[in-house]
Amino acid sequence: MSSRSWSVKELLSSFLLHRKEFDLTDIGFFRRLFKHRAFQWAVITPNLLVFVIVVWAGFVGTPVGNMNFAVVFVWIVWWFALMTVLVPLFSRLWCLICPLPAFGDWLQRRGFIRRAANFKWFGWNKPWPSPIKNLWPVNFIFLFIATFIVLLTTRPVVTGILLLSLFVLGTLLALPFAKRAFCRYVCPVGGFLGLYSMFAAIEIRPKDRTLCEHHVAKECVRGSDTSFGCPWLIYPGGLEKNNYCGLCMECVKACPYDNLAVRIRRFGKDLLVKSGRALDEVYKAHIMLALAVIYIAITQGPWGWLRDWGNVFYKPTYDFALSGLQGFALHATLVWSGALIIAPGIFYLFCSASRALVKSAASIKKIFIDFSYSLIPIGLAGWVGFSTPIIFINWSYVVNVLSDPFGWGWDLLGTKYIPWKPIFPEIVPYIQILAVAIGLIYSIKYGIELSRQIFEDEGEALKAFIPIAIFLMLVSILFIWLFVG
Amino acid sequence: MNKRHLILLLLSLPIAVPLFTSISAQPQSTHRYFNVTARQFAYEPGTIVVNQGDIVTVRLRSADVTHGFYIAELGVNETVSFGEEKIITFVAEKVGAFKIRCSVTCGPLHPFMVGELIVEQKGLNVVFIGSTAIIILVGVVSFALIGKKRVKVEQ
Ligand code: SF4
Ligand SMILES: [Cu+2]
Repeated sequence: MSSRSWSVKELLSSFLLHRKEFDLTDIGFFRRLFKHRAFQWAVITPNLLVFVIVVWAGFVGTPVGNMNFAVVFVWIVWWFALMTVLVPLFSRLWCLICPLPAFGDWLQRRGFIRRAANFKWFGWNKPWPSPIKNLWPVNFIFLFIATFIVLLTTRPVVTGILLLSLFVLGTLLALPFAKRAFCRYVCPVGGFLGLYSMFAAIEIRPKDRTLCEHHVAKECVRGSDTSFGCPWLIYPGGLEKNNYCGLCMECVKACPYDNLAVRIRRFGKDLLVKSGRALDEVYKAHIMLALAVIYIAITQGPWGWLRDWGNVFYKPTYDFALSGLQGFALHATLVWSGALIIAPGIFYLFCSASRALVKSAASIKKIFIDFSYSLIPIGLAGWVGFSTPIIFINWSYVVNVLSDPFGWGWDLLGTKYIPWKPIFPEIVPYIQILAVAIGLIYSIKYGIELSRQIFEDEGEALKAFIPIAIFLMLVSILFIWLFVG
Repeated sequence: MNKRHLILLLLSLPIAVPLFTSISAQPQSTHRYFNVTARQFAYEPGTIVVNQGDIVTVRLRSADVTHGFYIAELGVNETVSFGEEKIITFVAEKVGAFKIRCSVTCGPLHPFMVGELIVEQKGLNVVFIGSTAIIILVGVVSFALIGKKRVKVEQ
């Protein structure tokens, strides 16, 4: 095994400038860490503890969202970290430490860390039913939950109920179904993590694919005497994109040839991977793009009526507001039609324009699906823009709830009464604009490459991309308008 | 200048906008008056538009509970209770789109209680226009640069 030593400078330059790809398992520390059987357990357990406090606070804490650990930790800390750091840089690293499927894993494996001698999976170990072996269930579950976003982010008990249900579901589904069926086919978080992980700067891939092809035992997926094999129902030896890899390192532990690399790579690499492109996957991209726009408008826009719509328990005393349920019906219509019809519909029109510009045989469906991958960078940028003010404006709530997680008047760390005061509020819009600009550059870069994949001829490829580029710019301007319009 | 430099240059433009706008103004001020009602969880009207240099007076009332009226960039920080009326006067020195935020926890959606103060220059929202221009430029230039050279698709 090659054991090169990398300098910090090389590591940074690989990570930030993507001069070259860089395998973390070349570094002894990481290799030992990833291969250590207790690694995942050691990161899940503390997280599980936080999770318990979150759910607990959701049920017994104060109903005031910004004074409750559940709302503040999930929708300020976790969301911000996820969208601005974890996903763009580290792919589905969250899934490595996620508490939701932890019990399911442990049940199936009949233990926390080691694989016992004469091991047998606990539970029925059934395959997930094939008609729903796709992202549609995730898309609809996600949209359903997304409809209640205003309640989720402001009523601790709703967050508590959601997380507890996901936890219970994650555990229960581990009994009839093999491995992490929940994560692949049900988890609403997994859906968008998978989508945006295609852009991320880290990946697990086989070092030498021919070695994998000729290797019959395939411990990475089947497991070995000491490891369980991939819980994500994928074959790591053939891994081409990040979407369904939860970075659990089970394959790294299992492979007898150390043939799996944990690589730092350039952003967006997976967007050009042809295999596995499908309508369910790109619909996720449209849903996320539409929701970014809608959520920014609801939570950061000056439109009170829009907020009223989403706030189903709201009993307005003003003649200009709709009553709770009527308004909520409009809100639900906006969310569902925006995500399922309007966003993909408008994009479809631009794809038709693209097709009309060239004399290519490519079907409109292929054009629509393939070009949709160019929406991933700009969509992620929109979410970064959405998430930035959340922490810059509301950081004081975080330190407040650390001292008083349930809102019961404690002051554990003496930070309970740190007053609300945004930090650098004046630079927030410029961070947002910068994020959109970077997202646009990547979207255009990958859009052109995608166009070259769809259309053989270079001239046609560039011409066909013009409408898509216009769409991407319009989306960017829409974001800018929401931020500083 | 290679591609990377050009892109870096383009990315630095958003920072140039506020610099440019803050030095170029020679405001002539008008005194503007607004009646604003704070309620759970919005300001009515939600958007206030003025010109740079204007003296802005807001007569603030609350329709329900105690709310704040906070504009970080302009140093405005006031609260108003139900039944009260507050007069806030400030000068719109800087151009930009500033959020008006509620600074008092006033109910579940309190963190989302946002309004907007747009300070224009001669009737134009220059920050929005400037950033839109930059975005279009970024888009067109990256298209031109990236489209020019056929890069090998690595897999
Ligand atoms: S897919 Fe969902 S439940 Fe599974 S690890 Fe990721 S976030 Fe957790
Ligand atoms: Cu308020």
